Amino acid sequence: MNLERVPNEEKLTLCRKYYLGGYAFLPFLWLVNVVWFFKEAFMKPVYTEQLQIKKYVKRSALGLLLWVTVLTTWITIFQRFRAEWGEVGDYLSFTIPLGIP
Amino acid sequence: MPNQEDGSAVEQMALLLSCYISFLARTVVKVLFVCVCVCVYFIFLAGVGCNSVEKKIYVNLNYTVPCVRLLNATHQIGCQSHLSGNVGVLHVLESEENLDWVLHSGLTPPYLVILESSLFTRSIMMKLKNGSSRVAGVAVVTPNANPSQGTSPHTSCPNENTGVYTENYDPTMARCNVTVWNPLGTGLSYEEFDFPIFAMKEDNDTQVIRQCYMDHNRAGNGSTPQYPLCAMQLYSHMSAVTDTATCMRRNNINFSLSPEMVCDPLSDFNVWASTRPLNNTAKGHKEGESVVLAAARLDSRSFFFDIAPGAESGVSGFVALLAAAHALRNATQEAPPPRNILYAFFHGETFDYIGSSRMVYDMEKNNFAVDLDNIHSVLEVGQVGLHAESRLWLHSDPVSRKNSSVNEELILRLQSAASGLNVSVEEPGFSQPLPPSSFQRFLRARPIPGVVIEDHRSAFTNSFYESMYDNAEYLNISYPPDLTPDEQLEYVTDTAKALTEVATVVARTLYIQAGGAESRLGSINADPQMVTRILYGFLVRSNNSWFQQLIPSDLMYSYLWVQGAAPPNSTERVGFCMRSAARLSKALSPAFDLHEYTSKDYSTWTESRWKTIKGRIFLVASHELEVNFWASPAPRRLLGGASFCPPL
Repeated sequence: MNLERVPNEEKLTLCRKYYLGGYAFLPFLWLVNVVWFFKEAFMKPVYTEQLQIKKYVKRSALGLLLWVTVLTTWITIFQRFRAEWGEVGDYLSFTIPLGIP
Repeated sequence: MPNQEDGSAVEQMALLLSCYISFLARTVVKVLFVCVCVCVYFIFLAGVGCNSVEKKIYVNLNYTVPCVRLLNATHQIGCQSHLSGNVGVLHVLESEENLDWVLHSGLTPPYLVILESSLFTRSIMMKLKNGSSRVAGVAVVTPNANPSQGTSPHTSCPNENTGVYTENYDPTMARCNVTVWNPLGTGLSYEEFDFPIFAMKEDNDTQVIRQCYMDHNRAGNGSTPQYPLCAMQLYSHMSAVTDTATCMRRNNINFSLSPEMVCDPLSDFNVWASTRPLNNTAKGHKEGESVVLAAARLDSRSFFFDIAPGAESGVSGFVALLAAAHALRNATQEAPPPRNILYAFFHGETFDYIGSSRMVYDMEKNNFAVDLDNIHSVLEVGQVGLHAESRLWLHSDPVSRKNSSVNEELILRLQSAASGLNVSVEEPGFSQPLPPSSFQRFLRARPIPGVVIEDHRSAFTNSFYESMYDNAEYLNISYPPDLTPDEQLEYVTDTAKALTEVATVVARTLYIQAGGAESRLGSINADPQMVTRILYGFLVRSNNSWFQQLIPSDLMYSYLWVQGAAPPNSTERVGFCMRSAARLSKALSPAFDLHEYTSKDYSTWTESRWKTIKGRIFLVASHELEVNFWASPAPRRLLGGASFCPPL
């Protein structure tokens, strides 16, 4: 969707929708928000709604960073220690590799 | 669409041209795509259908035997390869010093080492195991003749954790403190390797391999071999890992995306029979039944999968017991002794007494035809094939012997049974624990008197215990040349004659131990013809004319032993064997095989299950009382009536 021809209020509504939607455990919405509205928020000349859009983009970026950290940490721990967890590791897995612990 | 107002003819032409070119480009792309697909398809077809390129590259190995992974409560043993096989540059090992090339100085690791059987020793295998980053696998060339030096891949103290000699029973005898039973044992079978180990026969394939190595890989006169080099790929990926608890858990996971079995418990069947028939449906203790248990072991193993000749370790024992049972057939029918004789052949004894521990467990849980209290004594036939100077040794448990006179009697009877025969029986003469035997599991449960007959006084005389070399050649079973298979079947070898003597001793002892009359002893003799045939069938060729006679055939008929009717002047029924061509065929609606539970063509009737079905009657008070009981004081009369409800 080309944001060039979208009126500013609609831009704000879109940004807000994506920002609020990301709270439903959907960090990709925040990623889209940040990528899509980055130019609008920080590189376009000032307009009325830009302050709000900036706020949303900043908060989306923060939320995204948090998710990335949590997921990376969990994935690293799981991949590294699943074998040592024995039973718990097996019950947490969907596919268990054959022949290796 | 070009606007008529603002375009000149040139612009219009340009626009038309661009449209045409883009259309052409799209078509060309489509055509190219179709072309590529067709080409790939034909290449694939050629690759799969003709395989000519594959045949020019790869030479498949025909006879290969892998080593597989086994797991127990704490460890995994055996070999593992990568899912896509282990590829290594071939290297034929010449000596132990040559290992340096493989482990350190060779320039093209990983190597796949070809070992002659004389080099398949513990020290070389351990060095290869430690340098396993440079070792892709090992292939052992098994010779056609046994090596002269004895070697056993089993542990030196077999089944030390599951016998009767634990720290509680007698700490001085635990862990082979008194006698190391298998001194030649290297324990290789119980090591874990993370590369595949295969065994190959000495045949044309092996010559091809050696030739390939000579042509391409040999480092001659200081020059290093250059690529392309001869390589071998071995596939033996094992699905199970860590230990038995893990693999059984992974067998049973329900919500996995691709549930599949990763391991199976080792299991098979014991074979047992009794001279006087026992009612097998009435389990548990049998009053008045006193049983002499004659035991032998059925199984063995080696380092490699499915090679387990076990000639001396297993076959000698159970063949002697089978021949003894055959020798007793007349005496037990004509003059049946007071006690019953139960012949038991246990399977899985190599792997911590699977069969005998199961039978003891069944007896303890009243799940077997007799009970442990029904057992009078045990006579086990162990390794008896190699008896040098025709001497047999009678092993008994020193701990339980102190309290038992039955043991002394049993030994005396064995000695008297052997008198007049070509074999002598003696006791070891010093206090020694029992060798690894099924009898140990019975002793764990009860102090039953018993003796284990072996051909070794202390350590095993078997120098190939649980090895692939423990075969007919090791027992010196040899036939004159130029005999047909049927003639070989009937030819009585010297080994068979020697085993017949052992079988006669066992048979006579069993008869007296069961309370039979001494006068009949002279007529109990094992048949050397029977012994040589059984030995031929189990050690040389199992597809012989005698075994074929014994295979059940149910092509046309089924056989049933029916009770029959009682003749006019008697109450005992006379049974007979009935051959019937009548059969059973399944009557389950096809809807359930097809899983079409809403089928309109087939019956879909099912019946519910239930827990208990019962009924009862009692007096019940008025409904208003149930509601108002706490609210208002109820009339006594009704209370009295209500509390009078008799339990029914």
